[in-house]
Amino acid sequence: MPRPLGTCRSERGSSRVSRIGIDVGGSFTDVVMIADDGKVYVTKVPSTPTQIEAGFMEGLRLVLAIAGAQPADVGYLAHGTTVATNAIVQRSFARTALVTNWGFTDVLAIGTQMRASVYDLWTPEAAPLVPREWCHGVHGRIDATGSEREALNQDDVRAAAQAMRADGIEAVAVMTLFSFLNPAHERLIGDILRAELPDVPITLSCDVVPEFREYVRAATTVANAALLPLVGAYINAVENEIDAFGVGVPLHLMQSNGGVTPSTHARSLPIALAASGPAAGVIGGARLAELVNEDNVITFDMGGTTTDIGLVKGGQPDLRFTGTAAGNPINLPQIDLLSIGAGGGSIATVDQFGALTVGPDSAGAEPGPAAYGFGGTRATITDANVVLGTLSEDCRLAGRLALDRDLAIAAVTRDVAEPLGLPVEEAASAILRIANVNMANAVRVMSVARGQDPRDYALVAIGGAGPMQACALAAEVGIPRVIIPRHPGVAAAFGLLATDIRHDLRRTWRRATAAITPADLDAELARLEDEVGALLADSAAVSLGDELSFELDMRYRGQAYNLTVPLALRPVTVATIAAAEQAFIDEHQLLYDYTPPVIETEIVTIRVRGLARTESVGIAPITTGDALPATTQRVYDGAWGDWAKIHRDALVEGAAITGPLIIEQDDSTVVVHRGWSGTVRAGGTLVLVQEAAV
Amino acid sequence: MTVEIPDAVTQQILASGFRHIAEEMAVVEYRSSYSPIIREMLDFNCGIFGVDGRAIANSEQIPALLGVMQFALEAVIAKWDGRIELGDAFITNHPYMGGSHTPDLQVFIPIFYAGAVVAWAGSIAHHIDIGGRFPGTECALTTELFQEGLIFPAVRFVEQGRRVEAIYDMVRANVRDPAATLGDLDAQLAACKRGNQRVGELIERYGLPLVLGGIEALIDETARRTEALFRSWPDTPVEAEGFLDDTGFEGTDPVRVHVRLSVDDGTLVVDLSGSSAQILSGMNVPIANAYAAAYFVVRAFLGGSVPHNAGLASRVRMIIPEGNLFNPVVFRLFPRPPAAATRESTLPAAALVLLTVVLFELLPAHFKPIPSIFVISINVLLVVLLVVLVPHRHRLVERWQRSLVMVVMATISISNVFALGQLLQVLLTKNEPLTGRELILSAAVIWLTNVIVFGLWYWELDGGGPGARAAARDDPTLKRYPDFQYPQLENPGLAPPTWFPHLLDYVYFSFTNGAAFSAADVMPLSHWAKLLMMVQAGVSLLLIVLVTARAVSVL
Repeated sequence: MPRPLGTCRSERGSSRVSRIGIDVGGSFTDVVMIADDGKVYVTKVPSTPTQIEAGFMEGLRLVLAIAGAQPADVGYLAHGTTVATNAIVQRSFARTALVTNWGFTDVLAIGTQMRASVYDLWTPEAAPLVPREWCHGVHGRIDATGSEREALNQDDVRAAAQAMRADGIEAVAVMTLFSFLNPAHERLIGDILRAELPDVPITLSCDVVPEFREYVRAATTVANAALLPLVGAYINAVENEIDAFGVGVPLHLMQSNGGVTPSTHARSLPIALAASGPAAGVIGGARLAELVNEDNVITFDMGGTTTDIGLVKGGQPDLRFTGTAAGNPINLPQIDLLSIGAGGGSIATVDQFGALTVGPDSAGAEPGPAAYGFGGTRATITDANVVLGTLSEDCRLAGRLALDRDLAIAAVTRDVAEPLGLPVEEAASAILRIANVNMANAVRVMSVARGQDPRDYALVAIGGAGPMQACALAAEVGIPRVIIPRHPGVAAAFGLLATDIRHDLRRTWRRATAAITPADLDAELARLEDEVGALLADSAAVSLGDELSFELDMRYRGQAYNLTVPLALRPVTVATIAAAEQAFIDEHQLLYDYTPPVIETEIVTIRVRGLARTESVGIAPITTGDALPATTQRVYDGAWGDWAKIHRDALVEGAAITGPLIIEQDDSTVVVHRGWSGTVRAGGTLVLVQEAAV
Repeated sequence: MTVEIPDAVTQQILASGFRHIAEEMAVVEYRSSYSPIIREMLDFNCGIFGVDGRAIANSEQIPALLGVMQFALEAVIAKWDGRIELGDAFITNHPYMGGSHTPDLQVFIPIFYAGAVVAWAGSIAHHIDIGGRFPGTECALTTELFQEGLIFPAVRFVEQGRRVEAIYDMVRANVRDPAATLGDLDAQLAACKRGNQRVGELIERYGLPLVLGGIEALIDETARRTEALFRSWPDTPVEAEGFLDDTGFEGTDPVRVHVRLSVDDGTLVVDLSGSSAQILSGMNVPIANAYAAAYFVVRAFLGGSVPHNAGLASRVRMIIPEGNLFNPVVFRLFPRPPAAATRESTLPAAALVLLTVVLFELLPAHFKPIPSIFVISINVLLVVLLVVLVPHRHRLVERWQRSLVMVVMATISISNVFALGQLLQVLLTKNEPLTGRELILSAAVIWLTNVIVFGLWYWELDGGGPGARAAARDDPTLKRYPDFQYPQLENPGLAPPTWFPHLLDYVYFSFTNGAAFSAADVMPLSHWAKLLMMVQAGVSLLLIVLVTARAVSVL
C-alpha cells in the first residue's frame, strides 16, 4: 500500500500472538479471534445491556473455547463499545457543571440558534447537557491574541466549587475564551477545582478541543466531562474481569477516528468513543478489502436498523472533524461516514397518497420483522427478502428461529401490496428498490458529492444485511466490483484487530498562509509532535513501529469551512507550505468547482497524527471447505425461478461462482444476482463482478 | 416535450433524486461561502425548478426563503424568454420583480437537454452587504428602495459561459466587502452548476419524458397532500392580528399585521388586506416573502417530510391588495397616483378621428384627393390601432406601431391640405363658381379638420407621445423635456400633482392657435412645436382671410 504524503514509520520486530477483537453492539456481541497461526475464529453471543461486561466475558470465554486456547495465550485485546454512544442517546450523564467566563454562562443554552427540525414548531428543543444553574461564570479574560486582559479571579472559582459541592456535582467541564491560544486560565481553574473537589473528574477544553468557536468547544468539553464517571466505571469493570480471568494484556478501545487507544487514555477522553461503532465497520471493511488488494473502496455496512456508508481512498478513510451525537455538537476527529435509517428491520409503509417509504422507522430486534414471528406485524426489508425467496425459511439469522414466510407475505400484502394494488412479489421488489435508491443516494453523497467517481471504487458489503443488497446497490450506482469478506457479519469486530493505535492532536493556529514564517509553524508542530510522542510511548510494548503525519486545515480568507490537506514531515519549509496550499486549491476546485481569481488562503488548525502500528491482518488461506450439497431455492426477480443455493463453508479459495446464486452463511446471506459472477480469493473473500451485458 | 408519468415506485425514486440534488447544491454553497450570514446562519436555499419556473425541490435552510425563488424565476423567464442560451446565468434581487430584500441575491441557470431548456437550477443567498446607505444594507431607517443598495432587475451576468465583467465591476465598486460578495456569488454559481450537472445525470439515467413526468407527479402529490390537510380543517374563518411598535422611526404609529384565514374548496385563503398600508421605511414585506411566510406555516402543519414545491403553492391563495404592508409598490416621496390614473384612454382620440371622417364626407367630391372609401378605410384603421392595439398607451409603444399611427395621421393632414389647395384654386381662378353655402361649409370643414388633426399631432408628439408620457409618470427616470409648457405642470398650486394634459388640452390649444393664430395658455418650447404651430396658423390664416373675403363678396 503506498504511504500517503507526510508519514514516516520506524520498524520494530514482534512475534505473532493470538489477537481478539470484541465488538459489543445493542443486540449482539461479536467476537473475532485471529490465532497465532492465522486461523480465524468467529462467534456471536447476545449482549447483556444491564451488565455489559458479562456479555463481553461470555464472548471471550466462548471464542477461546472454540479455538482451544487459554486466557494467557491472548496477546492483544481490542474492544469496541457503544457505552458512550448509548449514554449520549439516553442522556444518562453524570451531574455535570460548567465553568466559563463571566457573562458566558448561557453559551450552551444559546448554542447556534439552529432548531433540530425546522418545521416542527411543537416539540421542545432538547435541553443543554448542563442546566443553567450549574453553569458558573468566573472573572478573568484572555483576548483574541492570547494575552491576558484581566487576571483570573480565583475567588470566583472557589465560590463555584463551593456551589458544586452543594449541588452534588459529579464531573466538571472548563471552557474559557481563547484557551486554545493561551490555556493559562483554564489550567489554573483546573488546579483550583482539583484542590477543592479532589474526587470529581475535570475536563479542560484546551485538552479535549483546542480549537476556536466557543460553543462547540463548550459542548464537546461538557459531553466529555459528563461521560467520565460512567465510561471510567465501565472500563474498570471490564479490566477487573479480564484480570481475574487471567488475560494479562492491556485493553485497547476503539475510537471514532478509526484507531484504538489504550484504556488509560480512553478513561480521560470518553467522548472519543462516541462514534466508534460505525468507525470500526469502515476500518474492518477497508482492511478486509486489502486482502484482495483493493484499497479504494466504499464500505457498505447494513445492519438491522441503519446503513453506514464510508469512503476509503488508498486504504485510508477520510476523517471529519465536526459531528453531532444526539444533537450535541462534538468536535473530535471521526471517520467520515454517512448513516441512514435503512436496515433489515426498516419498516415499509404506504400512506393515503400512495407514497411508499422504507425506514427510517425500524422494527429493530424486538419485535423485529414479521417473519421472525416475535410479534412484529409491520412489513420490513427482511420480510421483503423472505417474500422474494432471497432469505429462505430455513436460514437461521444469527441463530434465531426459522423465518416464517407466511407472516412475511401477510405483512407485505397488507402494508404494501394492497395499498399499491400490486402482486405481493412486486410489492416486495418495490420495497427493495426504494431502500436501494436511498442507499444509492447515500453512496453518491459520500463519493460523487466529494468529487469521487464511484466507478473507481469497489463496494465492500458488511453487516448482516449488506451482502444481500450489495449487487443491487452496486448496479444502481455503477460500482463495478463487490467484495464480500469471509465473515461480513462481524467485520466491525474484525476492524478492531485490523487497526492501529491512533492519536489525533490538533490546535487552532490561525494565520494567513502568505504571512507564515516556516520556523514558527515548525515550532508549533514540534510541540504537538512531543505530545503525540508521549502518548505513543505508552503503547511501546505493543507497537510494531510508530508513524507520524501532519495536516493543515486551510480555507480561503473569509470562508468558514476548512479543507484538511497533508503537510510534509518537519522541518517546515516555504516549499512544504506551498505544496500544502496547492493541495488545498486543488481539493477546493474538485469539491466546489471554482477557484477565486485572487488566491488568499489561511491556515486555521494544525494537526498531528501519531500511529502505533499493530500487527497486520495475517489471515491463513482457506483451502478446505465442508462438503455441503448445493440445493435450490425459489426466488423472484421479475419472474419466479429456481436459484442455486450453497453454503459459504463449502467455498475454498480459487472457487468460481456465477449468479443467480444464493450463498448462505451463519452471519449473513449473499445474494448474487443474474449477470454477476465471482471468485473466492485470499482469506475466503468473495469478489463479485458484473458482466458487461446482462 | 413528451411527458411520461412514472409508476408509484419510480416516482418516489425520482422525488428522492430531486431532493438529494437540492441538498447537494446547498452543501456546495455553504461550505465554500464567505458571508457569515450564509455559512453560520444558513440564510440561503437552493432549488431546482421546472422550465416554467415552478418549484420542484429545494434544500431546507431558511424557511423565510421557502418558495421565494419561484417568483423571481418567473420574472427572469418573463424577461428573457426566447433569448436564453446554454451557459447563461441570471441574477436578480429586485423586490418588485419577485425578489425579497435586496441583500438576497438570486442566481438562476437554465438546464439544457438536447438543445432546449428543460429545467432551472437556482440559489438564493443573503449577502452580507450589497451597498446602500447602511453597512449590511438592511435597515428599517430607509425611506426608499434606492437606499438599499444595488438592484439587479433580472439581468444576465454570465453569457454563454462568459462573465459579464461590467456587472462584476459594478458589484466590486458598490459593495463594502467585495471579496465576500463576489466569493459568495461564485459559491452560488457553483451550487447551480452542480444542480445542472446532477439533473442532467438524472435525465441520462431515466430519460427526459420520465423525469418530466416525475416532476408533474411530485408536484401533484404535494398538492394532494396540501389539499387534504386543508379539507381536514374546520371551515370557520379565523382572524388574528398583531402590531409592530412603529415603522422604524420614533414617534410613528404602530403598524398592523392582520390575517384572516379561511379554507375555500381545499385551498387556504390567507387574507392580509386588514394589515396596514405600506409604510415609509424599509420594513415593508415584498409579496414573495409574504407567500414564503405562509408556506412555512403550511409546511409546519403538513410535516417537514412533505416536500415543498409548486404543489403546495397551488393550494395557497393570498389576498393582498397593492400598496399593502405585504404587497408594497414602488414608493416615492410624493405618493404615486393609482396606476389607472396615470393612463390616458385613447377613445377620445378615436372619436376625433371618426369626426374627421364625417367632416370629410361633407366636402364636395372634387375637393377629395382620393375616393372616400380609402379615407374611411384609413381612418378606421387608425381607430382600430388606437383602440385595440394600444387601448391605454401606458407602455412605450413599439416604434412601428407609432410610425403607423403617424402615417395615417399624415394622410389625413395631406388630404386636408389638398382640399385647402382645391378650395384656394376655386377662389383664385373663379372658373368653378361655388355657392356661398358650399364655400362656407367647405372652409368650415377644412378649418375644423385642421384644428382636430393638429390637436392630434401635438398630443402625439409632445414628450415622445402619450405612451412615453404615461411611462414617465410611472417612472420619472424616463422623463424627457416637454415640448409644450402647461401652466399646471409649471405651478403645482394650480392642479393636484396627478394632473397631466389630456387630449382635450391639446385640441383646445390647437383651437386657440387656429382661431387666434397664436397660443393662449400653452407655450411651445421645441423647434418642431413652433414649426407645427406656424403651419397650422398659416393654414387657418389663409382660410379665414381668403374665404371670408370671397364669401362676403359672393353673399
